Amino acid sequence: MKLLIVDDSLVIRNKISRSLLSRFAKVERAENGRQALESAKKELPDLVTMDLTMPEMGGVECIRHMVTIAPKAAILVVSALSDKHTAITALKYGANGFLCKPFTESDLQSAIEQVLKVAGQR
Amino acid sequence: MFSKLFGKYRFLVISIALFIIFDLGVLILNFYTSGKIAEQTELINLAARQSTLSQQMSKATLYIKSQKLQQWVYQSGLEELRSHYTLFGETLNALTHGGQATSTETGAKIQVDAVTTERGRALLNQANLLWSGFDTAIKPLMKDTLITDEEIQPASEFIARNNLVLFDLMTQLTDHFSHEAEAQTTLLRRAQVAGISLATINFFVILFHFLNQLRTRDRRLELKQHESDQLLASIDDGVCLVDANLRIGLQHSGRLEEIFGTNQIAGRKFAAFLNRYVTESTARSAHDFISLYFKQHVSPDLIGDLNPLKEVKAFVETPNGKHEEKYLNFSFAPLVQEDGETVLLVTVQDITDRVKLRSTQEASETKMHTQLALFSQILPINPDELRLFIEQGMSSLTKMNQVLKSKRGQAQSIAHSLAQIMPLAHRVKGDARSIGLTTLGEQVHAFEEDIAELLERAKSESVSGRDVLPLTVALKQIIENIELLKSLCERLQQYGIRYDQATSKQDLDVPVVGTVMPPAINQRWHGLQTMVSDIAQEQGVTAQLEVRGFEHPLPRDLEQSLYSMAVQLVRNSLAHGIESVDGRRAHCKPRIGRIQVLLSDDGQGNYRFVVEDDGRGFDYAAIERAIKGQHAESVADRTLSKAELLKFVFTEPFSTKAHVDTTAGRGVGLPLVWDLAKQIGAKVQVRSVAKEFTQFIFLFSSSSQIDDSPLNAKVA
Repeated sequence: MKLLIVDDSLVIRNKISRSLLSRFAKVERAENGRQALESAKKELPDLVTMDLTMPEMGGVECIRHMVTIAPKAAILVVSALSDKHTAITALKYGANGFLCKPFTESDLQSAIEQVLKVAGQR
Repeated sequence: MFSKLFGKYRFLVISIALFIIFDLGVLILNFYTSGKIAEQTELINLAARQSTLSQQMSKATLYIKSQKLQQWVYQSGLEELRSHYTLFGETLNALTHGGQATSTETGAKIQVDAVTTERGRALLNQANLLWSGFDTAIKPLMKDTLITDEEIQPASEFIARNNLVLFDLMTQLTDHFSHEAEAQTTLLRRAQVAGISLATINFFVILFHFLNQLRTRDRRLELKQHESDQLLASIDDGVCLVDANLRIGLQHSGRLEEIFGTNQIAGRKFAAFLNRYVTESTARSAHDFISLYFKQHVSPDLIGDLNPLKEVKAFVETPNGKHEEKYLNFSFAPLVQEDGETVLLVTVQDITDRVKLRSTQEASETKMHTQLALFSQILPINPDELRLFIEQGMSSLTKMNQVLKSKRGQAQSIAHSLAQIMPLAHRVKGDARSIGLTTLGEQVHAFEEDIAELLERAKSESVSGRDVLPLTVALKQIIENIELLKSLCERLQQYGIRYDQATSKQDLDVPVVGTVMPPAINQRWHGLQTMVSDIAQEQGVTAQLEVRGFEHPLPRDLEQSLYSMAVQLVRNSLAHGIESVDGRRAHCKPRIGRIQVLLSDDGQGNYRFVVEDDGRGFDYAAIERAIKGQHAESVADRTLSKAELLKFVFTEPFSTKAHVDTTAGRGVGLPLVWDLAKQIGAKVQVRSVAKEFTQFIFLFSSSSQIDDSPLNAKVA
């Protein structure tokens, strides 16, 4: 399984990567939506963790394109609660679940189980 | 198989099948019997014709005999006899053995079955025996040659003897056939009655069966309804179901009606229903949020954090027509029904007491912190300064309160009221910060932000009186704090503490900011220096404030107006004019920016009040862009003159700053200066050179009248 971590924060990218490294054969990282789409075109990830507020291309726009580039990928929005409306829009456009920052490793593991379960029903 | 195919409807299917079978049986029997009756009718006609033929044969024979005796022509009689003889013989043979006969109706040949009834056979046997005699007697007459007396005499005698017997036999045969036909008709009628009766009985069986089933189901439903009503009535929370069309279900708990003060809930669109109690944006967010529960690709366990109705403020109308503020908690749980459809179980809790208790605790803590902060902040302030601020501030706040209370009606008048109180709030904020009351300044700034947000909302949606309620509450808190200031001030005076001699900001080490102020100047102007120090630090600039010309006492209201104008203009200088140290160096300017507040008079009561800085000067291009961006409808596609731009700057609430901070960004500072200039009857001149300086000059006399158009912009 391939994982794509999309977040402009290095700390968050490292945190997610450390938590999920054992579970995924390959882990790709992207700092913004544009990089994420380029990576997804090459690698077709099985799971994408997506921040919402990023430079160049934000999470919502990235998700809109991601669902056509990698339609089978499960998408977990990992973001702060500051803009609930944007997160709801992201879910409307195809994200499978939302995980609020800050989060624990077990929160992340549990959220990933959930999104992988429902992802096939997009 | 049958049970699987039709399930609970098998009784209905069987009943309908029986109904069809009964009807079909009657139909077939009807068809068969009708055919038989038609055959029987033909037999009756044939037998009746035989009776007639027997008579006609007798008549023809007697006619031939009579004609022959008188030696007249008898040929027609002979022809008739031959015809009757042949027809009778053919018909009798067909009835006895089966075969062809001539139809009585059409004269065509028809197939006749041999008579099989006992009575019919007996009559036909007798008729055949008798007919053999007739045959013997008549046959000699059937030749083509002339008939002799020896031939006609015995024939006529035999026919005269037996004619009536043959007639009687044929009549009996006719009666027999009639009885047979009658029997068959009776049979048909009985079969029809039986079939229809069975079908009718079957129909009533179906009817009663279903009525019974319907009654049983109704009883069960009523029982279920009663049970669920009892259950829903006993639930402490508001509970209802929402379907995939986001419509509220027909049943809900009684508590839900209590919470919203209405029983008009069932069947309504959830968002539309909610819209009556919460803001439009919250209702829209709620609609978007709950629709996620019906999207298969979204995990319902991972969206709870996004619930916009976790702690939502709702305004519920009470029976006496007033609005009660409630805090509600909505929670959602998807349920999959027997038919595979998902519905959303919505639970609503009234958490008003909990929220109010928490906010009371928070307010109490905030109040305590505010009081401590105010206490520490008033110590360095000159008591006269503070009293003047309290007096002016209370006056402005009272005006704001009156405006808010008087215009709670239509959305337009609410927006107008908000626009009216905005500059008043801005003045209080500026004055507070200018004398070092930063906590109060921040409180008024937050209040200002709430007004600005509501004004922004008023552009796209209608705002109602209930939207203004939070502002009234915030205003009340500001008033309370100013009253607290007043009380602290009085107490400190009671204890004889010269608190203005305590540690002053003027003594703080702020090396980048200096003040040039004559010692004899009215104490209140020292407040400006505190403000410059704070704002310069916030904005990352260095500046020196020079205040001159206020050594002699002025009328109190006039000095307060000039002071408030200076506060706004100095704030503007720091926010928009004075560049950063690097910026100033790039323009070969002294490292420290200079702001001057000067008052001079000609000794005859004519004053010149000047506020100037050596900053960026007016960026007219940026001002024009900002005006067109914020007031596009009135100035679209037109280049504005500098005088027009200045007029906008002084009269319309707009700002060139992209972000609002506590110093600038609302665009209400200059309109406030404009109002104050009108109050003192001043003419305004503006001089500005890009990258060099900006100068505001106010010309007024002690006898100036209020002027509605004081702007006399001079643009350099």
